[in-house]
Amino acid sequence: MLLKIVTLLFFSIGLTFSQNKDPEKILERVKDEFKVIEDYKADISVKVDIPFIKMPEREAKLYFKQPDNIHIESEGFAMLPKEGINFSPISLFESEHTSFYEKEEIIEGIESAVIKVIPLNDKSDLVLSTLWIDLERYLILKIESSRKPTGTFAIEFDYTKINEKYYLPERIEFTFSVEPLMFRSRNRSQLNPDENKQPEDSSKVKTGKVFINYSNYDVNTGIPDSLFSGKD
Amino acid sequence: MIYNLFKIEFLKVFKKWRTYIGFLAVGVLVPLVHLAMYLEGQNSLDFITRDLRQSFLLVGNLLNGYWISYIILNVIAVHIPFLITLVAGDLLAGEATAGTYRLLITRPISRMQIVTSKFLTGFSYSALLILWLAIVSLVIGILVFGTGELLVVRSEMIIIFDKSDIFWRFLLAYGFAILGMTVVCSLAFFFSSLVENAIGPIITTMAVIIIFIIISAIDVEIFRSFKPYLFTNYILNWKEFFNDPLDMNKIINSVLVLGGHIIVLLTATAIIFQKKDILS
Repeated sequence: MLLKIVTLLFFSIGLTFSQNKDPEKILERVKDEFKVIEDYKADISVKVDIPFIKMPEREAKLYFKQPDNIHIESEGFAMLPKEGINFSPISLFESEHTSFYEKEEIIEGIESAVIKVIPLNDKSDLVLSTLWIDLERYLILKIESSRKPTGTFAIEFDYTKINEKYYLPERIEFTFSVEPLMFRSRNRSQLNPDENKQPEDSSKVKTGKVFINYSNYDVNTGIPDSLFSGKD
Repeated sequence: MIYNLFKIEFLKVFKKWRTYIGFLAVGVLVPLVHLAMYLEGQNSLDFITRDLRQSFLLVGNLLNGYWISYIILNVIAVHIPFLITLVAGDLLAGEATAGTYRLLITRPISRMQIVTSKFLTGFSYSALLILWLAIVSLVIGILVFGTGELLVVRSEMIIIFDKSDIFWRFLLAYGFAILGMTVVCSLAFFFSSLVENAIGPIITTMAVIIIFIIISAIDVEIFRSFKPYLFTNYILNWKEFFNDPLDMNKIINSVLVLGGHIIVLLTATAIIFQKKDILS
């Protein structure tokens, strides 16, 4: 809580001059733009580039329905980052929060607003999120976020226009810090201690990336709620 | 001639009920593991992937025939040597116990031919036992649980193998296991040439394996220096076929060490048997 108050004060003082643009209005526009998409399904391909994990590229089918229902079907095993795959601007800004307009920045030639969002709810896992929002299309181009207990992560979005009216991600790059302990074997060998030895650099926190490519979107086709009643 | 001798020895071995103990043990134990996995396997997988689930959505089925066969090979490979010794320890000493040594030696065949045919029988038994393990665990596992990706948790990383990239690894791993078990067979065969009662070689081989495994498992400096010289340290290296990329140096080194053990033990057995004074 103290951290949140200090962060609030810091941004209140430091960013007073940036408040000439209302961040809440921008966030509202982002939500409104996303609200027109009631549901969609898409083919996704997932490529994992994480130290301590080796996994082949996977194909899957992703179903989404507002506000944040996700269902994934895959013929084989797939491992998808929770933060990236079930990202929805609506659920992100739903809880009580405060926001600051920090500055404008050009990202890949696109004029974007940099907005910091701090949740006010103590129970929220999110500590602080920084969003880069396309001021022309009102799309989130990039998010950097600190979340308990999984640490910091960043998501970068490239969009494609579906049916000439809906902007949906074409590619998501999800970057996050990897705790080696997360992947430490729970099956410790009693027969050969050498198998339990960790590599020398195993204590260092490393960066992992997951790339998700979307294709074959079907938007607003009316996906039944029953599809989301499973675990996913 | 060797083929005929081998055929006779093979029939002799498979006429003894103790030969079937190993097949029976595998045939009972592996389906029990399948049943346990059918009932509780998902809990085991959830436990292994618990930390991953904090950050990732895991979609699809990892509880499949490949994963269960991998677990079975992990658990059983250590105990298979004990089943091998039951037969290999009896190959030469059994003749002495039965009083048929003299009868065998007086036949128009060389002692080297006897040793070779008996060793080939022991090798065939070892290979058939591993083959039986492969059939019971992999074939039945695939029939019951289907195929899918294989999750391998190593100390330094988690590897998920695509289902098209698994079968050949199992074939090589079982092949490597046959090589490892042949070393055990050679050791029991060697002890079998020294004595005239089959119990001795069986117990001695088991004792050697137990001692070597314990020395390997206790991670202290004094034992660590012995480890490269213990064959038990290489027998479990079939796991290297479930690594990406394959550590070919480690695999080749293990094959050479195990192969070397077989040659040395077989040569020693042949020399001892050539000079053996047959009194029974």
